Amino acid sequence: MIVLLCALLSLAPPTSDYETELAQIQQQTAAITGDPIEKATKHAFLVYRRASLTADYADFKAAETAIDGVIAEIGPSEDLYLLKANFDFKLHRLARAKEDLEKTPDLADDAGVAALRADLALQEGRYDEAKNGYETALRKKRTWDNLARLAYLKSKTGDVAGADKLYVEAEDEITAKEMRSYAWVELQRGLLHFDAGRYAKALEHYERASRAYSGYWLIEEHIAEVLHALGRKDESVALYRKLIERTHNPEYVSALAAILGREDFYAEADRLFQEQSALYPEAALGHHLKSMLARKSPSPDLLALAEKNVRLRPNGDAKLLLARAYLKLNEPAKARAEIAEILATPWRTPELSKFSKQVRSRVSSL
Amino acid sequence: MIELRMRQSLPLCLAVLGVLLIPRLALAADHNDPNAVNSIFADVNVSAADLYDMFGWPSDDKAGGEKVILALTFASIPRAGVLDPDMLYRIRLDPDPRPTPPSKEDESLEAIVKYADALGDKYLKLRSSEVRVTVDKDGKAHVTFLGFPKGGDFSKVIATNAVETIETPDGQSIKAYIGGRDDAFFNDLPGFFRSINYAPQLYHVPHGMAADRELKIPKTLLELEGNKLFNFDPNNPKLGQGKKDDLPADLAWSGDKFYKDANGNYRFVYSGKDAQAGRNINAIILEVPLSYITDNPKKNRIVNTWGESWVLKAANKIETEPDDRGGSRWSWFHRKSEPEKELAKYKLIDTDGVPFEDAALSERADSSQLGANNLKLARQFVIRFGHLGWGFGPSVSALGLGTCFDHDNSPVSKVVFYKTAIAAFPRVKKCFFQRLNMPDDSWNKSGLNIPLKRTFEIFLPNVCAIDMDTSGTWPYGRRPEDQVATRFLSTFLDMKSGCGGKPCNIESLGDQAFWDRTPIEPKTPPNPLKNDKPFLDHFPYLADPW
Repeated sequence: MIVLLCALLSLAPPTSDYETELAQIQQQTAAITGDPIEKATKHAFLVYRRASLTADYADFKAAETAIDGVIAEIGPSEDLYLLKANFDFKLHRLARAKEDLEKTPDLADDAGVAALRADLALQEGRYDEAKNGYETALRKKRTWDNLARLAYLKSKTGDVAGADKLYVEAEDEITAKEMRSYAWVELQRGLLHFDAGRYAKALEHYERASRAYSGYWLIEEHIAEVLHALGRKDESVALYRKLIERTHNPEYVSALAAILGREDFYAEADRLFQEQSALYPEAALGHHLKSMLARKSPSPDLLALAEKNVRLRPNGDAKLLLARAYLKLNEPAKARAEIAEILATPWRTPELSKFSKQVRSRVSSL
Repeated sequence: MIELRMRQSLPLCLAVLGVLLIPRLALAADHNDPNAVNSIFADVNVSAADLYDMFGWPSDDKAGGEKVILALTFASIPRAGVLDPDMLYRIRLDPDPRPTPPSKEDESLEAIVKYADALGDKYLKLRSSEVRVTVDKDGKAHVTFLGFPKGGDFSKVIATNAVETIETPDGQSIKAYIGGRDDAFFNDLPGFFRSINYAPQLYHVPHGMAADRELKIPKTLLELEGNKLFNFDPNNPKLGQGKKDDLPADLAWSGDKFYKDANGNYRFVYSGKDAQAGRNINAIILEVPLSYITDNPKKNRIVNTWGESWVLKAANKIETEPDDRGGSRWSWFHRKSEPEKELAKYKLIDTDGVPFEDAALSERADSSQLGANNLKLARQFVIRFGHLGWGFGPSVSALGLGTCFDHDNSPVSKVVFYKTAIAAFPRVKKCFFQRLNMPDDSWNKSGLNIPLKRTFEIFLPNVCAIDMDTSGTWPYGRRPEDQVATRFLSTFLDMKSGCGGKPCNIESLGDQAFWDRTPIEPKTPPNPLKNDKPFLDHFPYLADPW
């Protein structure tokens, strides 16, 4: 009976843009044609595309297996190494991503490679290099994604108005054939408002994103978050529950635990984080840390993990997490030192500003 | 408040968006320009924005007055007969008097640049009339006529895939067909791509690998000895004709002569086969009275026309209320008209006027999709023509024909890149300024003193310039039966005495007798002489879809 029900559900027509895209990927995967090499390559791309969409770690594993498999089968291909570089970057494996890019010398002038190198620089806290890289990529190709990259950097270095202006410019480049891209930029514009505490405005952008591309967990989790910030707790909780059912994402379990004050939920979150860490520890680390910081009592390995995270990605985000770990462990002086280190760079975010005040207040009360 | 979760950093999310190379999952269409919609690349899908051809010629039926036939063709996405509701197509029209030939011709680079600058001024300020077409989700075509001299702007909703008659406000009739047809382009496209070493036709070349599009070996009409990259391989006969291999590691050619077989025959890079046979397109086809296009049909004998494809911007697909992005501080100064407001919701993707202009001369650059206002490219065309000439010129000479390109009697094609038009110009001067002979007088139906066209006049501006006193055959317009690919190659012939000491003409390379007596295999004109399906002798002229 259950098997029959599952079969019927799988035959049901997709009800959202997200589901439609997943179904299209499935159809395209089933209809792959060409010689064996071409088929293997297309298959790897499609599996990767699915993983990119679901962000499910098991899907990522399938994508990695497919990419490695096709490279083993047809030998080194710059196209595939660029794909692999993006894959490794997405999974926070920055060193591997750099190694992959070394295998694409003929793509050195490509705007996409310039942008990825700049992404790496940003993750490693080399902000000027990142800025130059994005500007180079834009000179080569003024595409929406390169505009959005520079916008993001601006948003992290204190120029929120400049960031929004670039996001608007990026949106103007996106056509009706790229609604998911448009939705994503809308989401970023919403985040600028969210970070500034303008929650109603953030929700407007999130809802517009959802109209552009419906059923996307990435948008829905932002809506759930802002609903909570707006005091619409029940709606937020209901949406988080729905998201957890769909994605089994430990971040959302943690968010639900925080909203409901249910410390017992964290055990479930930890189990799911451990599953993720078993596959891609670098990718899971930051998210797990954030979850740990939201709990009442500090985890014994909090500091070690926060330090490891900084070693992996020595940027403002990771250092701020380390500072928060220090404060959580009641070491405000160390937190202040970490903040000072961030402030010595161009990194300026509302989150940093808010936390700096918190640290100052704790230090002065000592 | 409680911080609920870790923010995903932007680059990671961008990757999630799949701003990555995605394999091509549909068959490549022809033309493929600009590069943004060039489905020949491994990572770009076929798009309804990819314009294929702009045809335009005077109707042979003069009953009820002179009429102009216009046909804009484009990729049949989602399928032939079904048009994409996110698209907006424009056929733009600019009637003009035929230019008076100068009393003394100035054959200098400055003359070309001055010519281009003068036209540039005109097209910058131009407010052309246009026919704008969108198709809704129910398959109804919304056709809007804007800027025509009589009766004001108006719109009509008509059925697709049917011949419809639209009555204009001043009581004239326009025939319209919007829907699927057979692809009217008949051409050995793989042959053309082999002639310019265009690797994406034969190999998996991602869009990002710009340097590996036209490989840096000589362009040529004849196979080069030892050219493993582009020579026909009997063990891999389908390469470049639907089959693609991975790009080889060695992309160089180090030979010094054209290939000859055991019988002393050259091998043609062209096959003469129709690569578009059996394929469909979507099209907008119109028959418009000249007296609707211009209020002075006796004076304005040239109807300049070109097509544009625009894709709806994402924001306008979902927008229900104004965004808070605000307008320019000067926005009050220029209040947009309703047609301008509509157009602002779309993004220009492709333009089409002269065949092969974007593919051969503009290298499909997205930034060169300028439509009629391509005059700023004049110097670039000289540079590009110089580069092509070093490839095609020696090939033409090897065939025993005379070439207008000065290649210093090079026995084989060469790779030469120019950085300046000044350096390239002496080589291309004759080609640019020679007048292109027609095969006979049938093109000049009026018998008027219409000067033969010079090459640079054809490519600047990028419009299909329909001469109402001619048959409208290329380059006096473009009729469906014109073999424009072969005619384009003829621009490298010496029109004065290149064909056995006699003048060449734009059809010389389509002459089977020439190939029969030439030591070459296969013995065929470069491109097919006829379309795969006969054209109709009545509106909508293009054959029914397959």
